Amino acid sequence: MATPSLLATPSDRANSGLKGSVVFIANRLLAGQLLLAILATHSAQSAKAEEEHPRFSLLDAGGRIRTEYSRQTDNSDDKFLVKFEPELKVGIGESSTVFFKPALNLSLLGGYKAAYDDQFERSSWSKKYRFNDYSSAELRELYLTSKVGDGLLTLGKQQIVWGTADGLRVLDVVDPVDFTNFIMDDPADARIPLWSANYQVTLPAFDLQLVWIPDTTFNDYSAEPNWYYLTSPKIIPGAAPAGVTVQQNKVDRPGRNPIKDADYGIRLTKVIGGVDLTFNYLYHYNDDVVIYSQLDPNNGNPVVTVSPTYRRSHLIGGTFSFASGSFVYRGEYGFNSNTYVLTKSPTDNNGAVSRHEFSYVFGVDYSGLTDTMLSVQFFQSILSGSDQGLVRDKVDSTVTLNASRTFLNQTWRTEMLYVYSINDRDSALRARVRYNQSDKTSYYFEFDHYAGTINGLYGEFRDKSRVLLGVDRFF
Amino acid sequence: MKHSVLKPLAAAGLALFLSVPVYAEPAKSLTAQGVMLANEVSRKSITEQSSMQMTLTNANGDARVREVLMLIDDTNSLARKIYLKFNSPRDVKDVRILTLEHENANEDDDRWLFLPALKKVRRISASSKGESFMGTDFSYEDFEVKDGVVGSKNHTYKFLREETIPDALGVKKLCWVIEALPSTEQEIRDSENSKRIIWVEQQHFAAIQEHYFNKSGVLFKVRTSSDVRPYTTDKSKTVWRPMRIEMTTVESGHKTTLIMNDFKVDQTLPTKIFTRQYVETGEL
Repeated sequence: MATPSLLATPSDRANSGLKGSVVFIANRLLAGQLLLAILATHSAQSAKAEEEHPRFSLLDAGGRIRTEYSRQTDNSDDKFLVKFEPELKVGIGESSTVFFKPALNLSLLGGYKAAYDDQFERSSWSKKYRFNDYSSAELRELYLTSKVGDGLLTLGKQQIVWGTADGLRVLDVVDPVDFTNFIMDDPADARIPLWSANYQVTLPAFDLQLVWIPDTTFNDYSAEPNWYYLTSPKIIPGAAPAGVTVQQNKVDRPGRNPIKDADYGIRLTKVIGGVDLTFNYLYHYNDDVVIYSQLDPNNGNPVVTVSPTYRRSHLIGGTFSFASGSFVYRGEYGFNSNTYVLTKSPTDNNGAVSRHEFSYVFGVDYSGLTDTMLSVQFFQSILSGSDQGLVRDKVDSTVTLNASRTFLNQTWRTEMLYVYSINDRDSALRARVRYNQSDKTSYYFEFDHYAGTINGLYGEFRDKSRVLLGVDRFF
Repeated sequence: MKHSVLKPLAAAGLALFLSVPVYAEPAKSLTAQGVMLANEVSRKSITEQSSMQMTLTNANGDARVREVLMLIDDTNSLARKIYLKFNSPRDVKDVRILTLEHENANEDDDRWLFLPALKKVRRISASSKGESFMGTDFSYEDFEVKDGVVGSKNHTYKFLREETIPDALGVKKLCWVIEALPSTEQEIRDSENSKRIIWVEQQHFAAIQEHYFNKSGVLFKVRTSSDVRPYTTDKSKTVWRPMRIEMTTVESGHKTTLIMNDFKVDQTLPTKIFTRQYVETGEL
């Protein structure tokens, strides 16, 4: 992971943003043409069936308007956002549907500055379109779902979700995450849908899922210094020593070859004796940028060259979950062939080393109290080799606590998420109260609090706790 | 509610009873359990499907409306399969729940929940039967097969009296009044009810009213069923189903009214519907 500020100057970002607009539109058109071609092919193939069934039928139309005001508690930084998310689902013939979900974002206080919106993590297929400092748009989802053989093929921009853990990601890395609000957004809002093909079929022995993801978009980190701009040395290389010039190369992104540069995955699912089991394999680019640094003495005028890039990895793992009485036990584990960890000195080993990583989450949900859910998770990541000279410990452990309760027939809902890093002793807390006034309107109040060491992943935001008021209007 | 004087099975009731060929036996031999078995036969189909309209109304009269697709497969009469999908409102749209009962009543059911906000399927505990079903006054337990062949395994039934009561639409019905008590250790532990009193009307054996008593023995919910209509099964048998069911929570005055739309019985339902995979994809 890296902060965008290390990777491009504001003017670079502004320029790339303007050029990106043209590229964005061109790629939207290409993607749209691809989908239309698929639709046309499908339409021709199923013409006979359509004699009996209407060619197009409106299955669903609606959406959500979210209005949200947030303000940091330690200063006067605030945001006022409106997000318009219509949804449309159209049936095609007897066995296909198309789902379309764009998003229009308005920042009433002008937050979409080009410098904060470099989007270098996103492929040209999945960039947001920034109209100006006050408004942007993005295609959230656009996919065709169709029966193919005995299975179901989903083609287009979609979310693919793996794993059983909440918030902690061991296997749920098929899609990257937008960290604009760090870890506080709901998963479906934070996940970045990717252009992918997803085939799911039930075989006699198990359920099979095959995924192909040519869209090379990665975790998108905020570049806003006043908000959730990452500074933890666990993620960001330390500053260069005094007198050392820093030279930064462009981000070395994967190519656009849809075969060679794509991610591939397979998941097998089976329920055995009341236990849900999955086996997962993903050949993919790690969603976090790897930042290499190289020191050149340069005859007494040392220069550090920073080279951000993305690296591939094999991920193999599985999940389980089962219920017993009022408890549900669930877990997931994964072996990552290549995880890249920063070195304490930016110039040791070119600033980053590759290690094997085994990580797992074990969670217990308890629902023995009326209208209440309590959930505890333990996460651990274990690196191969020694941790000497690395910015993180060999074994890194995190605990989460999640509690929610509804009142008055779900008119009110309270929920609390607490994340605590055992190694760094820092934490993040999200407390939320939601009032469902009617079927169409709900209000919520949220308090996000960070505490602990400034060098920790959560403690780095200890001066950026915030309160948030929001209204969801459904239509 | 108007309670009539308790009396033995009357000639009129007997005549009505005899009009149902399956149970053309002397009324004197009809036990409380027999009434509940007759109730099950009168409503039992292999499958059923309905687009339910759920109206949640609080004591002030504020209403919220939810549209839910309900599919039930009773092919195995000892192990019901229930699939529920919320179609509206938007904030719960596409929530999907699958419950698979086990033949062994001592085993917890299997239950999965798909939440659109997570976009993934979660295994959830099925032992907390008394949990409110999505904010309604119904609990998950209320969707289970509670009486009849299955219910007789973990309940005891006692005949209390005969009584004429008006149903929810004001139509007076002559009923048998039956007390149901959980009898197995597991049922006593897991059920939210310590006792139920059921009014089974004598014309079609439909349970038109039910009082639920909590663990403390206090009346906490009241169900009424009305608009009972006949449906023909694939075996040309007629079953009788209420199209309007209302559950009221006594303490809060909150109530949930179910209206069954597009109700069908014994339509062929693909077996794939009742699988974890279908809960995840929502598509066949």
